[in-house]
Amino acid sequence: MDGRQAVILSCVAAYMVMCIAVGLWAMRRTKSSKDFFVAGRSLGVMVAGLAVFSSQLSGFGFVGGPGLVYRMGMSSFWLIVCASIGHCLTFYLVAKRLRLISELRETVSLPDAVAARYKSETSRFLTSIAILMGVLGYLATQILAMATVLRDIVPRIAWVDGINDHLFTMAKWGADTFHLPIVVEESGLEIYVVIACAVLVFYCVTGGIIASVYTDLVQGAVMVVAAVLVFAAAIYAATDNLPGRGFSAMSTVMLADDREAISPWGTLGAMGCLSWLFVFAMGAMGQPHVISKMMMYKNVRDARSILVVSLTGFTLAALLWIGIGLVMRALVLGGAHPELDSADSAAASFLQNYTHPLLAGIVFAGLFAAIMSTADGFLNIGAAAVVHDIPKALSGKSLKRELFWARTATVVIAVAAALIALYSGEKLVALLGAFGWGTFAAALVPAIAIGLNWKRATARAVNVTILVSLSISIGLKFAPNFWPGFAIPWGIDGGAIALLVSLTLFFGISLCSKPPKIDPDIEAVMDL
Amino acid sequence: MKLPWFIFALLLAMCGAVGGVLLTKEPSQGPINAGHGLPHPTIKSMQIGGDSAVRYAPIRISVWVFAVGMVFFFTALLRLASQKGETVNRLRWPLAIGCVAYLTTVIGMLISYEHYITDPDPRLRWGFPIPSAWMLFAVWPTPLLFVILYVATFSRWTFRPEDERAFERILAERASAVNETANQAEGAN
Repeated sequence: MDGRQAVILSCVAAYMVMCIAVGLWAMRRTKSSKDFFVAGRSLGVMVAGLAVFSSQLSGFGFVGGPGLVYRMGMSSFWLIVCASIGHCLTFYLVAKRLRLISELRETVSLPDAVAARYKSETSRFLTSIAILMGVLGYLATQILAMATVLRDIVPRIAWVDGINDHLFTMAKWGADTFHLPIVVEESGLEIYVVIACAVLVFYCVTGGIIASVYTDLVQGAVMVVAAVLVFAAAIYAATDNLPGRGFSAMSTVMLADDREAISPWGTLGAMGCLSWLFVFAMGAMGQPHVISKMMMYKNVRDARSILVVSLTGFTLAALLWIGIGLVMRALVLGGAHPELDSADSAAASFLQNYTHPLLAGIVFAGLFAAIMSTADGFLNIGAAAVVHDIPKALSGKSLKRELFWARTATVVIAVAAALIALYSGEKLVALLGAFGWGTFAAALVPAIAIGLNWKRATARAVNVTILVSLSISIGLKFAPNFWPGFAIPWGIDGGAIALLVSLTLFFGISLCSKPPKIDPDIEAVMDL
Repeated sequence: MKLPWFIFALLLAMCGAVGGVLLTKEPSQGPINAGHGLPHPTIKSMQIGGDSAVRYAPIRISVWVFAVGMVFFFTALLRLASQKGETVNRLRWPLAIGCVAYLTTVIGMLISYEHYITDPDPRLRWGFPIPSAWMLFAVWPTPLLFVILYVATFSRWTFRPEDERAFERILAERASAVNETANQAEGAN
């Protein structure tokens, strides 16, 4: 192990120890299921603000984001540009009303709020199912990402490989003995999945959402510091290796190669970029792991400060995405850096060649922070769906000893997601992967963001839009299997189509229906 | 026109724009659809945009309708959220001004892009070609006007002291109703 690798590994290890410590601290503050799921509605401005932004920026922002800029030029900037209007929409439409309904009806989850607003157990059930399917998909990809990065930074040691082989053999034996419908292939990731899951599960089980949001606080801070430093390093690298200074140097090189890449639409084109703006700006209001934080802050008046903290944090953290992506594209085009094997290695390659090892270590810790802050939010809402929402929708009451079962469900969901990540085969991962940002947006934005602000919205409209949006998302994902070579023309995002259709249906059905009866207390809150 | 009907009309217009694009044949380069990126001729891990005019001209009108419709749609949702029962929405004019500002930046970007694709020697402004500078330094930050509006008017409109008192009343009524139901259930047992 060389010195650089040792520094990186130390930063990541220190970060993981911190997560465990926060989990132990939060365990003493978690006494009820209300503490476990909504942190007792006691979060302050900084904690809630950083938790909201760090939940939004997953590992994709640190690896996939720079890779997209490298591959497509300015196109993926729209995923960042959308944040300013997206935050406004989220706070105007969701923050106040969700928080008030949460306190009024003692809700601990989004399906609770949906059921209170629409007086419909079917709506609660469908919302829970959409969330649960999305949780498994998102978690599986986040766990896989964590394991892959761990494998890349941990030096190969014989006894670690030995443990890995044993775990693989056990999985194969289990699959054969119990005739499980899984694909057990040698991936070499088992031990790293176990390590990543162990840390994640430990602090989520012990401390529930309290551990999750307080680790988010540290995770958000790490991401911001890492991003600002990397952005400065990127400008320095461009000035040092290209003719000209900073962004002008990068733009000049990219302009000479392909003027579209450095135009506002990048290589994707106008409609593709506008569809991203639409789905990512609107979609923030439908991400359950993000908006569930709106039920947790202490005082309704804090919403305005939380908006400022969250938007500032997101914007600063996104500098990493912009900086690395642009500079790596310009350096490769300018002949100052060899061609990359894949676009996703843009971030790793930049950190390896143009930053101090300590900064690389902070960024890798930031990467784990980004992944884990998203994953822990999903684990918590997944547990809520299993032990609280689905039983309540089916039997009218939630489970007894809810806190115990919530902790158990957290472990079970994490293990299920890990097994899906490792052994489900490409098709199931692809199916669950379809339940990404756009699917959550299409399924939940009408029900929650619009429904909390518009009394004419009906339960029937909610149920139809959830079912239709899920069908469109799955249909578009599987269309290439039945129609080889299928792709949505002009680069339009499938999630944007699903969202547009579901919003239009939602308004259309509600406007054509009789105004629904709403409980007087909910109606009174909607008038505030 | 009432706001929900206006929003519904905007959604139909945006669906029309997307539908129009989906029905428009994408320009092709051999077997590849060239409307949303082509492989870079020498670097495998990169894409290029290709001929700007060829891929923009067929969908120009839909791009304008979708972009402008989206700005109106976002602002209409902000207005929907800031309504309070039947009272006059005090944020309607500030939101309208914000909408005009946001729309101006989006239109500025679209117009400068149309100049850019025909300009033989595009200039840089603040380190980027002019349409990209519009996107980064105008379209991106303009919604901060809505952020400022939210922060500045929160306790004068979004959640006023009288709203807080009203909410406490609603909470108290709810608590007494829940207690009453519980007592009745106990009595029945």
